[in-house]
Amino acid sequence: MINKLTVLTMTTVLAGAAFAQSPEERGMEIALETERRDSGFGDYVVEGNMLLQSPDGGSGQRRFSMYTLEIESDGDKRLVEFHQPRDLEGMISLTFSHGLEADDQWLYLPALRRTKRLAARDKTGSFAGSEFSFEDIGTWEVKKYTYKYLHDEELDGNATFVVENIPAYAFSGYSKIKEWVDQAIYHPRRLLYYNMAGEPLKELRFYDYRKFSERYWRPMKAVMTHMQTGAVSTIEWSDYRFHTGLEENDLRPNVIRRWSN
Amino acid sequence: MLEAYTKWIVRHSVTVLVLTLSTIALLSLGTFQLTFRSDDRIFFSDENPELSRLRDFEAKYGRENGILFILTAAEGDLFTPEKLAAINELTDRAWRMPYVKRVDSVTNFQRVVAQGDEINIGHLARSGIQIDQHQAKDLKSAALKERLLVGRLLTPDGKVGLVAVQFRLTDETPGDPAAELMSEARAIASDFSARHPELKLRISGSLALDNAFGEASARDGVFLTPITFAVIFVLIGFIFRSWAVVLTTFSVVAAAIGSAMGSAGLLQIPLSAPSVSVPFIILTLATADCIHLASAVFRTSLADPRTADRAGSVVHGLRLTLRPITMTSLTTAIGFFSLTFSESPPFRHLGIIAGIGVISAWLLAITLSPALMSLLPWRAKSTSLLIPDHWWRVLHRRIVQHAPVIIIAVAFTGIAAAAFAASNSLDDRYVDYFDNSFDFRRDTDYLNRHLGGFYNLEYSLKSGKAEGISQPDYIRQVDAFAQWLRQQPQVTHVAALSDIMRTLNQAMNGGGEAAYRLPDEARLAGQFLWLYEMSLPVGLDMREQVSLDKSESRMTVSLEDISTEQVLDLAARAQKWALENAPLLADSASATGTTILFSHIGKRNIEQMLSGTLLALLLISILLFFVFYSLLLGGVAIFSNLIPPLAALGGWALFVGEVGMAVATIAAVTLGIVVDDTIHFIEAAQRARRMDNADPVQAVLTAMQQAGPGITITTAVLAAGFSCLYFSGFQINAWMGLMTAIVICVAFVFDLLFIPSILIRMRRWR
Repeated sequence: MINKLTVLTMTTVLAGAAFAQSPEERGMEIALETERRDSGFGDYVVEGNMLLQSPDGGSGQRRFSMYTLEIESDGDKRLVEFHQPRDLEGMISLTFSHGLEADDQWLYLPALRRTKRLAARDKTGSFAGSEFSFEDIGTWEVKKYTYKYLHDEELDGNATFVVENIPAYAFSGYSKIKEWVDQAIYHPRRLLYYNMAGEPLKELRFYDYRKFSERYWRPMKAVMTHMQTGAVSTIEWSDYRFHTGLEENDLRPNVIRRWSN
Repeated sequence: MLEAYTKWIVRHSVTVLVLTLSTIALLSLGTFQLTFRSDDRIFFSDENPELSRLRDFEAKYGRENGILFILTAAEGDLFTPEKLAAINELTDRAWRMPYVKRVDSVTNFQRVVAQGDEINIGHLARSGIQIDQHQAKDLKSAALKERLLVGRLLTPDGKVGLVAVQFRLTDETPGDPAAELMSEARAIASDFSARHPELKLRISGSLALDNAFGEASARDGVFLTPITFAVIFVLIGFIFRSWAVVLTTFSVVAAAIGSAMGSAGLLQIPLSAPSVSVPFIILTLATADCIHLASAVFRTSLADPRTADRAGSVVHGLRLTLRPITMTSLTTAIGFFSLTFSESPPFRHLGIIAGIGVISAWLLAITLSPALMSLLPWRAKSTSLLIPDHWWRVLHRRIVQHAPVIIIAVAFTGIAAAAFAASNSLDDRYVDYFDNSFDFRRDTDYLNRHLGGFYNLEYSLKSGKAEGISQPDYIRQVDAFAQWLRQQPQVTHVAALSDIMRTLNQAMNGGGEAAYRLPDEARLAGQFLWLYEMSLPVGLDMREQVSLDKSESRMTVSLEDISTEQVLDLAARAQKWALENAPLLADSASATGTTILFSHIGKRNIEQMLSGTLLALLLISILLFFVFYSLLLGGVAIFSNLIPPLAALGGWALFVGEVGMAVATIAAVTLGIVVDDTIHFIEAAQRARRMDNADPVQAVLTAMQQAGPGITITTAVLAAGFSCLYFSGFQINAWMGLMTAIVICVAFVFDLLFIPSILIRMRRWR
C-alpha cells in the first residue's frame, strides 16, 4: 500500500516536472502573447482628457492628443500634443522608446519656438503634473521587464493572470509592478506600482475596454491613484483612430514644431 | 462630626484599608490605556491660529517629517570619488526606508545643464557611475555654484553635506513611526560609519526632535524615579525615624500616583514630555499631606506618652489636621486645575492629572494613612521632629525685636525682585529643550553651527490666480523678497521659485552667465517650469514647491540658531518689507512653520494663563477669606504668596534671563502649593488667639512652635522633591522643577519671617 502510494506520487511529480513551466517562463509567455496580439496596429491617435484631484480638494484639468507609431525593429514612437492648461498649450513631447536603453525624449516649447532634447536618463518625471509619470505613460516593450507569473485571480468578473514585472532597465522609479492581465483580451486590468522601499505606491485601473479595427483593445478610461497621498488622476480617452497614415518622417525631432499651432 | 469620622476611620481601619486599596487597584487598571505622544504638535491646541495656518500650508506642500543625515568629511571635502559614492549609497539606502517620500542629497541634487538645445536635468553625481579624482573636483566647482544646493544641503567649503529624507506620515500612521524610523536611521548610520570611516555621520531633523521628546520622557522615568523616591524617603526616614511612617507614606504616594495615572488613562489624556513629570509632582505633594498627619500624630503621642495609645494619637492627630489638609489640598488642586487655561495641551494635561492626584492624595491621607498608622507599629521619638523647641523661641525673640526691619527688608527685596519678573526674555528654541546628553541636541547644534536651517520660516506666496506664478511681476517680487531676506544677518539660505526660474532661463538660453536672470514673459516662464517639472525624477518633484494649480509657490528661509524672539522680529520685519515693496505678496507674506509655532507659544501661553492664574487667585482668596474670616489676614496671606513666584521670576531674570513656554504656568501652580504653609501658620496663630486668649506676640510664638516644624519639614520635602526634577534632561521639566523649588523656599521666608512680623505689628487681628 505504502509502496504503491509512493510510486504513484513519484510518477505524478515527475510527469508534472516534465510539462510544468517555471513561473518566470509562464510570465514571459503571457508577455509575449500580449505583444503578439497587439502587434501590427501600425499607428493610432487618441484624445486624452485628464482630471487631477488632490485629497484636500484641489483639482486641475489637462487635455492632449496622443499619437503612437509602431516600429517593428525597435520600441514605438509616441508624440503628445498638449492643449490645456494655457501655459502648456502647444507644447509637444516626443518619445522614442527603446528596450533596455534609455528612451529618447524631446520637448517643443512654443513660447521659445525651440525643441529641446531632454538628456536625462530617467523618465520618472510627472506627466503634466499628474500622478502618471512618463515611465507610466510610455509605450510598453517586452524587453523592459522580467516577468514572473504568480497566480490566476478573478478581478471584477474578469479572469486574470497576476504577473510580477521587475524593471530590467536602469533608472526605473519602481522596484516592481504587479499586473493583472485579462485572460480573454490580454490587456492589463490593474497595475500596482511598488516604490524602492517595496511599499505599494500607486494603483492604475483600466476601464471599459473596447475593440478597434476589429482587433485592438483599448481602454476608454484609466485611473491612477496615489495610494499614500490619495491623489487621483483620471484619463478619459476618446476618439481612437487607427491607421491614420502617420509616418516616421512626421516624428522627427526637428520637425515636431509643425505639430504645434 | 469630625470626631465621629476620625474615630470611625481608626475603628474600621482594616475595612478602610481594603476599600481604598481595591478602589485604587481598579482605577490603576486605567494605566494600561495610557497613551504617549511624542510629536511636536502635541504642544499646540486645535484652536491655535498659527497651527491652523500651518495646516493650510501643509495641505498644499505636504507635512515636514524629516530625518537629516549630516555627513562631514574626516579629511578634505566631500568631493572624492569614494565619498561621493558613499553619499550615493546612503541616498539609495534612504530610499528603501519605510514611508519615504523624498530624498534630497548632495549627489542627487538635480542640476540643470545646457549644451546647445540639449538640456540635461539630472543628478549631480549619479549612483552607479564611476568617476575619477579629476571629475570629482569638477563636480565640486559645479556644485559650489548651485545656489539651491550651497547653504541648504552643502556648506560653502564642501566639507559638510546632507542627505535629507522626508517621510509621509499622518496622525493615523500606526505605532510610533518617529521612534521606529529613528532607530532604523541609527542602524543605517552605524553600519555606514563602520564601512566609511572617511565620513562622520550625525542625525537631526524633525523626526529626531519627535524622538527626542519620547527619549526625554523615558529617561525622566528611568533616572528621576530612583532619585526622587530616594530623596523623599530618606528625608522622611531621617525626620520620623519610623518605618511605619515611611511605609504609610509610600502606600499613599503609590496609590495617589496609580489613581491619577489610571484616571488619565480612563479619561484618554495622552502623556507627553512635560506631563511625564506628573508622578513626581504627585509624589512630592502626597508626601507633604502624609507628613502633616504623621507629625500631628507624633506630637500628640509625645505630649502625653502615658495615656495616649497609638489609635488615640491617630484619632487626635487626624482631628487636628483634617481641616488644614482639606483646605490646602483644595488650594493646590485649584492651582493645578487652572492650568486648563493653558494654550498648550501638555500643560492642560499636566494640570488635570496632577489635580486629580492631589485630590486622591487628600482622600488617601485622611483614609488610608490613618488606617495604616493605627495598624502598623510605631513609637514617637522625642528627637524626631528635627527642630528643637527653643530655636523657635530664639527666632521669635529676634522677630519681636526687629519686626519693622524684617517687614521692610523682606517686602522690599521681594517687590524689588518681582519688578524684574517681566524682564525675562521668552525663548522656546525647541532644540534647547534637550541638554547636551542627547545626541539630538549635539548633532542639531552641529548642524546649526555649520549649515543652519533647523529653524526656518515658511511662506506660501500667492499670485492670486491659477498659473499666476509664471507672471513676470510675481516672479520679480518673489525674487526681490528673497534677496531682501538674504541680506538679513540671521538668514543662512533662501529657497525660492525665482532661483529655479533664473536657472531655467539660463539653461534654455545656452547656459551663459548673462542669461541667469528672470524670464520676462509669462508664457515662457510657464513653459520652462513645465519642462522642469516633467524632467524631475520621482521623489524630487515640484509638489513641495508649487501648489497644484500653480497659483502659489513656496519660499523657505533657513535661519541660524537664533532666539524665538528674534525669529518673530525677523518675520515681522519681512512682512513689513513685503507690504511696502512687494504689493502682490503683501497678503501672503506672513511666515509659518514649526519655528513660528514655537515662537508664538510662549506669549500665547502667558496670555491664556493670565486668566487662569487670576481665576485661581480669586478662588484661593475666597477660600482664604472663609478660612480666616478676616480681610486683613486674607490680604496678608495673598501678598505673602503672590510675591514669592514673582520674586523668583525676577531673580531668574537677573541670573538666567530666559524663560520658555512653561513659565506662564509657574504662578498658578506654586500659588496653590505655597499658600498651604501660610494657612497652617495663620490658623495656628488664630487658634491661640481665640482659644487661649493669647496676645498677638504670644499667639505668634505658639503658631511658630505648633506649625513651624510642619512648615519646615514640608518646605524641605517639597523643595527637595521639586529640585529632583532639575535632573531631568528635558529643560521644560528641569526649569519648572527648579523654579517651583525656588518659589517654595522664598515662600518659606515669607511664612516664618514676614508673616510673624506683620502679625506682631498689626495687633487688630484675631
